[in-house]
Amino acid sequence: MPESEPSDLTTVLACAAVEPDLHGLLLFDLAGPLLRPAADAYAQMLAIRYGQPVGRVTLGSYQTEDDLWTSLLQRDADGTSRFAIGPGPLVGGEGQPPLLVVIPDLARASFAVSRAVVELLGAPIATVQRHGVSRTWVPTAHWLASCATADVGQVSPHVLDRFLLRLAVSQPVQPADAVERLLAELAGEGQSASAAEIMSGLPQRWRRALANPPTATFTAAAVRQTGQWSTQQPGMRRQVGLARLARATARLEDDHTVSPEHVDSAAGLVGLWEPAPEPITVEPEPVSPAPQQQAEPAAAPDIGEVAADTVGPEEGTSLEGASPPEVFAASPVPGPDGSPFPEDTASPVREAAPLRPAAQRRRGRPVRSGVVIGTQPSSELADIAWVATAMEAAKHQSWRAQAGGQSGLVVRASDLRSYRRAPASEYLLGLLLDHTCRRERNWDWTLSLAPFLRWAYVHRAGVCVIEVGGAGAPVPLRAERSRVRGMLDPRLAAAMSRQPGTATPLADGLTKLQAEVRHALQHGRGGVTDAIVVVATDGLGNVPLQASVDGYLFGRVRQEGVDDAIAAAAGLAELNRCRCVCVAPPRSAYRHHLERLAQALRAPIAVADEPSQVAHSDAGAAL
Amino acid sequence: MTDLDSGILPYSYLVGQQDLKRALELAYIAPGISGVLVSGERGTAKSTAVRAFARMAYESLPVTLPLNATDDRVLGGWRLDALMTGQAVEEKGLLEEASDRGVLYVDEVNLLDDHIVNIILDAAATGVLSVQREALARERHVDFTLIGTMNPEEGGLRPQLLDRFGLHVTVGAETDPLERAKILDVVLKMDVARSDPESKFISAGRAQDAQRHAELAAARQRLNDVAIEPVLGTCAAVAAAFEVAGHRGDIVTALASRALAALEGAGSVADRHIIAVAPLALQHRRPAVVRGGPVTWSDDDQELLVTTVAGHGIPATTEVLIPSQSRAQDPV
Repeated sequence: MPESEPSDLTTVLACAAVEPDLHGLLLFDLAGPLLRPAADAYAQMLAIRYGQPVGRVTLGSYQTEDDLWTSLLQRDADGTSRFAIGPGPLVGGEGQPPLLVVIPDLARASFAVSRAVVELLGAPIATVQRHGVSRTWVPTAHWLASCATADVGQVSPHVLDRFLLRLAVSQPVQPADAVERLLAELAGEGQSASAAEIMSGLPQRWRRALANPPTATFTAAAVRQTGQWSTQQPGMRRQVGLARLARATARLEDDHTVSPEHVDSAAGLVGLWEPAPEPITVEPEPVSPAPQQQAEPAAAPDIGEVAADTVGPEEGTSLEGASPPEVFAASPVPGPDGSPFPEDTASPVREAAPLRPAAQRRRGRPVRSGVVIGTQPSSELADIAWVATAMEAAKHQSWRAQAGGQSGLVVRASDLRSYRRAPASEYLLGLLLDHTCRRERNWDWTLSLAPFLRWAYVHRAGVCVIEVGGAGAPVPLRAERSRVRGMLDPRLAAAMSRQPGTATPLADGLTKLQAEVRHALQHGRGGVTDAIVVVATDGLGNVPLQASVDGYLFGRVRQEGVDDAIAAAAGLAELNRCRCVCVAPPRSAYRHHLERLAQALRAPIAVADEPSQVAHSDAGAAL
Repeated sequence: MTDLDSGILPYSYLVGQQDLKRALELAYIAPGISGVLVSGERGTAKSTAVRAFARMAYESLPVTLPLNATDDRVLGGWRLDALMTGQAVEEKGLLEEASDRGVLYVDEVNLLDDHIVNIILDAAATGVLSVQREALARERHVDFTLIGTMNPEEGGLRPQLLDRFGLHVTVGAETDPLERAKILDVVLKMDVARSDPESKFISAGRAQDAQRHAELAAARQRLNDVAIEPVLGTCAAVAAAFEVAGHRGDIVTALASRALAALEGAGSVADRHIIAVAPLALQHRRPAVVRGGPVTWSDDDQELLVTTVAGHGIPATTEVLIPSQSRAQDPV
C-alpha cells in the first residue's frame, strides 16, 4: 500500500531529528493540546536516531538560573538521592543521554530560559560556572519551542535567531456557522492529535534514514541556490539553516547529493515560497482536416493568463501527428517575504534590552514587591529567600559543625540570600485622552504627548489611560478606563489612535482618573511614589457626572458638566506626589474653560501651536 | 583532537572579517593592548572567530566566563563538593585560570550581571585579585587579555567596562553573494568534519593555523625591536584630535601600531600603521560614546585621522627595515 505524503509537521520533525545541526525547531501558532504530541513524536524520532531514549526537560515562565544550571540533589545509579551540588538539567557532557528541551510558549519563557537559549542553542561549546559547578561540554540538546505569531514581538530577536528551523502550523478550517463550530469543538475535532498519528505518517524509508543517516554532500549549485532564498537577511544563520534543512531532506530520501531541488523543496517546506496554481493541461481540440498550409503552433500560454478550454490550435491547423497534451509545470511563486521569520516585520513589544538583568537602582526606600526572578546575596534581613539561604548554609554544614561543635543548621551572614525581583514601578503616568477635542482639527497629539510617554518609558512607569469621547464606547456618556502594563502595551497605541465620538464626559473621566491615581499612590503593594497626570483636552466637556453614572441624559444641560469637571480636577490637584499638566490642541475655542480647568488642576497648559507642532518647552517644564 | 576541539573552526578557514582578525592578532602580539571587544549583529561569526583565534594562538580553548557564572566561580574559593563532605579544598576561580592561560573570553558581555562586571573591572583595573570570603584571605596578581563579544541590539556597555577593552571592532554581515557562498561552504564542510576524528579538512586547517601561530609568535618576539619613539607625538595628537578621554587611547594606539609594524616585519612604526589601528583604538573612547551614544566611525572621522597623522607623521623614507628580522626569513 503506498504511503501517504507525510504532513509538514512530520517532515520538519524528521528533518530536525536526522540532521544533528538543526538543533532548534520553532513552531508558530501550534495549538496548546498539539504541542505535547509533537514533542512526543519528536522524542520518538530522536530515540530512533540515537538508538536510546532521550531525556526531556520542559521550560516555562518560572525557572531561574539555579533551576537550569545547578542541582542540589543528586540521584545515584541505585536510585537513592543525596544532598550534593551538581549540574542542572541543561548541563550536558559525556555520559549524558540525548536531551530534548521543550519550551511551550517562547513569548512567556522566563528571563533565565531566554538567556539559556542564547548560551546553548547553536553554540559549539557551552560552559557552566555556577555555585561550585564547573563544566564545559559540546551542546547536543535538541530544542522544540512554540510561539504565537502575534506574540513574536515580545521575544528578543537574539533568541529567535537561534531557531534555524521554523514552521507555521496550519490551522484547521473552522466552520463558518457558530452552531457547527460549537458542535465541532464538543466533538474534539481539530484538537485530537497524538504522537502515534504523527509517527504513523513517517514513511518507512525515513525511519531507516533516521536509524542510519546517510551522508549527503552539497553541489556548488546547491550552495549557490541557498543564496537565492537568503538575499535580504542579516547574518548567515538563516542561510545556514536552509542549507542544513536541504541536507536533511536529502538524507531522509537517501540521496547522497544535495541538489538545488532539495534547497527549493526545503524553502517551500518552511514557507519561503508557495506552490503555484495547479498545472494547466492543454488538450488539443479535434478539428476537421485542414488545408495544406499549416499555421505556426500557438505559443505556450503563461500560467494564469489563459483558461484551458480556450487554448487550442488555431482553426484550420491539422492535428495529425500532433504532440500529446502539454502540461505546463507549476513554477514556484515567491511567498510572502520572510514568512518563516515574522520577527522581521513584527512591532517590538518588549523591553529595549530584554536579555539584560534589570537595573536594581531605586529612589527612596526599597520596595519589596514584584515578581521573583531569582535570588542574590544579601547583607540585610529584608525580603529573605529562606530556601536559598538554607541551601547556601547547608553547603557548609559539614565543616562548620566540625569546627564549631554545633548541631542544627548554622547560618552565617554570608549565607543570606534575598529575592531578586522584577522591578515594580514606582512611577505612574495617568493619561486622560479627550478624543472629541481632535475633531475637525487634525491634531496629532502623539507629538504633544511624546515627552510624557518618553518619561514613562525611561522610568518604567505604569500607565493608566482614561478615554473620553472615543468612538465605539459602549456607553458614550461614560469615560473608558484602561490600566495598561506599560508603554509597550498595544492597548495604549490603540487608545491614542481612536477616532472621536460624539459626547465628552470629561467630568466622569477626571473622576475616574482621580480614583486610579489615588489608589496607586495610597493603596496596595504597588509602591508608586511619583505620578504625572496628563490631561489632553480643550476643556469643553459638558456631560454632567450624574448623566455618566446613569448612562443617559434627560433634559437640557446648562453648566453642570463644566462645574462637575472643575470639581473633579480640584480633587486631582489635592493628591500628594502627583503633578498635573494640561495639553491643549491648537486654536482652542472658549479658552477660558480650559484655563479654569487648568487652574483647578493647578497645572500648566502646554499648547500645540500648529497641528503638527509640539511645545516641547512647556511640556518639558511640567516634568 | 579532543571532543571539545572538534567543533572549533580552524582560524585559517575564517572568511572575511579582516578587521576582527587584525585586532585579535595585534592584541596577541602586544598583550599590553589589554583585549578586544567585538561588536556586531547576530550571525556574524563573532564567537566563532574568537574561539578559532584562541585555539590557534593559545593552542587551547579560552577560559570562558558564561552568563550563568556566579561570583564564587569567578573569584575562586573553596570547592563546594569537598566542603559538603567536610574537607576544605581551595579552587581557583576563572580570573586566576585566565591569568594562567592568558585570555578571558566573555561571550555576550553586555548581558552580564552588574556585580560580575564589577569583579572583572576591579581585577582588570588593579591587576590584583583579592579573595576575602568564607574564611579565605589571599591576594594574587592577575594579568589576562580580555576578549568580549556582544550584539549591540541587546544594549551597550558601561563606559568603565568599555574602556577596559584596548581595541573595539564592529563587524557586519557579509552581503556579497560569492563571499556568503564561501562562508556557507566552510560551515557545511565543518558540519561533516566535526564528527570525524581523522578529518583531513580539520587537520589541514590546523596545519595552516600552526603556521600563522608561528608568524604571530615571531612578531611578538620582535615587538620591542620596533622603533616607536618618533611617532609617539602623532599617537597623542590623534587621540587629542578625537577628544578621547583619559590616556589609554594614546597608549593603545601606540602599542597597536607597533604590533602591526612588527607583524609586517617593519623596523619602525609608519603613518600607515597608525592610520590602520587608530579607529580600533579610539572609536569607543570618544565623548559621544562615553555619554551613551553608539560607536561609529564615519568618512569624516577617517579624513580627520589622515589629516592629523599627515600633520604630525614622519616621512616614509625614514622607515627602517631590520634585515635579520625580515618576514621572508624563518623567524625561529
